[in-house]
Amino acid sequence: MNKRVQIMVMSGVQDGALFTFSQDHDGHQSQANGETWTITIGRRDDNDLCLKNDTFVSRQHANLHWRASRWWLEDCNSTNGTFSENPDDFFNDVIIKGIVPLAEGQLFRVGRTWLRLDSQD
Amino acid sequence: MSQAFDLKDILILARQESQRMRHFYLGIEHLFIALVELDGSITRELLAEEGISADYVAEAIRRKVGKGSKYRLWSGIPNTPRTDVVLGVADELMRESQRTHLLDRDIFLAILDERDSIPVRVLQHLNVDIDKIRAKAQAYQNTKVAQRAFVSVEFSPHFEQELDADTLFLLRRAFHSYDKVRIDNRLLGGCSGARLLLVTPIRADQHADASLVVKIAPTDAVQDETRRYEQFVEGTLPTLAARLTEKPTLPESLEIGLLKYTLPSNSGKLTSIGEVIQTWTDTQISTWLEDSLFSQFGTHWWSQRRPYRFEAWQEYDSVLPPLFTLDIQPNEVLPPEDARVLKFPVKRSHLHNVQHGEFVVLENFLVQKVDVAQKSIALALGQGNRENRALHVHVRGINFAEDMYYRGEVVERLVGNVWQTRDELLQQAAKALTPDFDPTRRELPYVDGRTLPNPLTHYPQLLDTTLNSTLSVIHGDLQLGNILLNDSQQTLLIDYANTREGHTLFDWATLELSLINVWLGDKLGETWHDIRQVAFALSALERSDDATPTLAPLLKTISSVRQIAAKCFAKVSNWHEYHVALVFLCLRAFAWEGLSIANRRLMLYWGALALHHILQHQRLEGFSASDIADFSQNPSLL
Repeated sequence: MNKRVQIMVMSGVQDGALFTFSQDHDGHQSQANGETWTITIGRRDDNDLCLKNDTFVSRQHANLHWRASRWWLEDCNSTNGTFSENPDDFFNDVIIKGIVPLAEGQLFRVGRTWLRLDSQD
Repeated sequence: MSQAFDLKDILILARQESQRMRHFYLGIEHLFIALVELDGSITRELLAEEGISADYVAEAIRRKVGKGSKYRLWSGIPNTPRTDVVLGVADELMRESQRTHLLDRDIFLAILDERDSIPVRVLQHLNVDIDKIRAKAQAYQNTKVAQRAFVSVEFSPHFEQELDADTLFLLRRAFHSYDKVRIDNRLLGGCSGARLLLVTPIRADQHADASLVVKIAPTDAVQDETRRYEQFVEGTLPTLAARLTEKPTLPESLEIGLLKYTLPSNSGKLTSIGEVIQTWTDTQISTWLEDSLFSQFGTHWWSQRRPYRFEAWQEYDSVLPPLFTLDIQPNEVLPPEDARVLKFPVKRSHLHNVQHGEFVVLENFLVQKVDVAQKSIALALGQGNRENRALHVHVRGINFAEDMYYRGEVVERLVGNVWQTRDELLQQAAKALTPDFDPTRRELPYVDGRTLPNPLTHYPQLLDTTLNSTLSVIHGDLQLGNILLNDSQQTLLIDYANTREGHTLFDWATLELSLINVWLGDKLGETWHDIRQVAFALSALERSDDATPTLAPLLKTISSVRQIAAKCFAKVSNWHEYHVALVFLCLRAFAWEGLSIANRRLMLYWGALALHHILQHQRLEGFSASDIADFSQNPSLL
């Protein structure tokens, strides 16, 4: 199975840029059967999604995991945090600790950059 | 009825918004904020119909997006990919209506059509029905670009100078909604070199609005002052004070910008305090200093006085001329192995004996000022506090076509040869005053065959002394020219270009020097002999003799300033920290070409007297025994 996703940058100097990832070529698979898949996000070049224009992004900031048929967002002890939109308060985002489930189309923020994940299937 | 605006108006506002937010890119958020800020725009009117104010929606977008960091990572102000998409859509909308220029409505519709940007999300959060507001905008038929009336600039009879074309352009842009503006007067201002004008805007019905003070300064200085105002001044001002209520005017095409200091209403005629203070009695002056200036602004400023121990250079290096000026070397030139490398943290001893022509490598210096006309930049090292960095270095001979530098950027590495050191520059300033003595010696001749220690040769050791002092928010340039009085004798401060947290006594020492210079003005005799006599007469302040009658009012005024300064000391009657401040500020005034020759000469002697006081009371490392000898007790020693 070759899963494909798109990550859309929603703010900052790259606002509107679209990055496509395919399971066969990008990220890391930890199980051969394609059930798990990890995409790394950070400021360093070796991340799958490299956000080098945002100084609030840590070198290795967050990970997206595909596991048990859904997406999960993990914060890698970043300096400025990873956030998701707060359904109750538009202006106060919820800080993410550890690993939390992430719905497709839901906005999340890495440093100062808002991102959105959409499945391409 | 709404008014149409063309793309240029929108882009100017959007870029300014981007710079203020330290984003340095052109995003949908900046375009949208520009659309709502244009007075009379369709976006603004339609939002008002929904019960949403322009300020509210702009603030909501800013809050959602957040401010950028202080470092710029790229040059220019590039469009984001989404901006390119939206401008493309707007362009199609323009063609559909068979027009050849974009209007604000096209951009508004395009942003709504794109649907995915932060501003649209903010509108949705505010319960705006996007489809409905889009239909309304589509239905608006006004496509005529308003012809902006030409704002005429008049001069009052008191104003005799001419203004250059750029300044006139700035004034017209800043007061575009008026029929004309009248330039009433030019104000003295401080030592920043900026121009301060008192102006009265006049509406189309010939009704004159309240006068205000405008400041015209280089673009980056205007931006910096706005930031300082937001950080230190806003919210700490008494009810009656000059405020920066409007955003600065910063046209893209110019390298200068304009700030408006709005004055409390009904201020009436404004006078600079320097013009009237000499007509006051000494009781009036001391009452004014105490009850008006100090008590009005003190609570949030000088009375904070948090304990602060610092080495003099941390606060005062920045008032002196640059440490040295370098001739830049091309990138490919390799400096010799023994080149002096300056990087954080710099050992102070590493800065002594810099020689002309020597190779210097600067690492991780911060760009403080860019002067394209002079092909030079000013750099400082990241020490001292953020507002007042020490170790200023100027670099000249820069080819801006090849290498662009931006204020606030960190230059990783730069190589150059020393062209002029601070000592050379100070000595040159001394030579320009045609001294009748050798300014490179440790002593200056004084009255009756005595001598005073020479600040020009003593200041490096003084920079290394440690002061036990206090830290407060300070004005940073408390000159008489920056203090205004209105009709009801209320005190207004302007010019926040140097406002910061710093040595509490800085402001009072600045005020003392400004008082002396304004008071004596053209009354000073030109010769060095006259200057020494005046300095001696003024030093009566510390000798408790009877003062020369003509100088008595000035002496009383200086002691009133010092009485207030004394309230700000860290330790009771520890005059040391005040005199240290005086020595450095005197050196700054001495090297400042805006001051008359006689005043600059006096500043050297006033600094020497302060230094003499320091040496009398404290043994400093590196000072010889004869420096410390008290000449007034035993003049034969020297």
